[in-house]
Amino acid sequence: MHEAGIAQNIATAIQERIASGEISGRVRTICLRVGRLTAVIPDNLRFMFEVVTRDTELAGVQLEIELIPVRGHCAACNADFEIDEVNFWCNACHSPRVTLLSGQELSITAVEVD
Amino acid sequence: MAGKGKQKISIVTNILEANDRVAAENRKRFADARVHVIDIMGSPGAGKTALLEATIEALHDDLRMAVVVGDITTTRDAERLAKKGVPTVQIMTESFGGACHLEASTLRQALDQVALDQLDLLFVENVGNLVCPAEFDMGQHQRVVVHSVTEGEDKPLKYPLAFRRADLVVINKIDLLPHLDYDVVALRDNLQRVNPSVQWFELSARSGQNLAGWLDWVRRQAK
Repeated sequence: MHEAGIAQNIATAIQERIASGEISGRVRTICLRVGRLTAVIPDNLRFMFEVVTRDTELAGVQLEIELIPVRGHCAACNADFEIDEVNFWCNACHSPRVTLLSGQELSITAVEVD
Repeated sequence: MAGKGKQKISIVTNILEANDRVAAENRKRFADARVHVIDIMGSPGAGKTALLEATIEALHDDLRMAVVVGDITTTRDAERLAKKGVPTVQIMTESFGGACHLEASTLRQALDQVALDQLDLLFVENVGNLVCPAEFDMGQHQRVVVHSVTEGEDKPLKYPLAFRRADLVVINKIDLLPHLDYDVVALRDNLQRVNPSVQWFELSARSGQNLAGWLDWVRRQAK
């Protein structure tokens, strides 16, 4: 359940920005990008966010979660490809010289306020 | 602007920025004190404490060491390690909200109880778990995953993030291999599929078999 720690970190990041004035107005939605390699379960994250923000100014705020696929780039054959099973070798030439292009994201991109 | 309809404010930030900030502070404290920090992760029962016991026993004449132990409810691991004669600090994560891993701020609290500038090497024994600890930077220099052959050779595929973020993997309990149908070749293959550049040692913390390579590695990090 690393979702609990992640939910708390989301709440802290937003509360700091409300306190500093960077965010004004009532926050309704927080938009997130979550890479699939992080093994975050969206429903668990929503539930933990609800728990950690209960009785705070963020109570009732919705999380909009965009799941980002795991993609790799092969330094040997230059192919870009999606990694859909746990095998980080190039699926074209089978080289292990693969760097990840995406899939480890854990970021906040925007908030919707009114 | 209240009541004037919805508005989108763009923010680009890492969710774990608060954690990462504290991790950077921890890292600076380690640098100032010239202490090397190794995080030990692994499933419950993989042998994290046994590996630390064997390591401390072998190296306590060469290196000044201490251990911070994350345990959900008990002080058993800390007691085992304290018997080896090194400073040991217990973090019971339950008192921080029942978490299943250590974060930068939990480690920071423990650091106040450690004389960092009198150490060469600090081990952090993470909570037994292969999912949660992998996500949180604490400022450590290296992450070691302890995997035991009783867990099955598919574990790197089931917990890719932990194995991918590992700097080193210790494959423990190899003295039990004659009694198991564990496929070491398949494990090596799975490990390299997840983390092609990873280094690993196959050993038994309990019998002492093949411990030398691991001990040399630890010595090299700390000096």
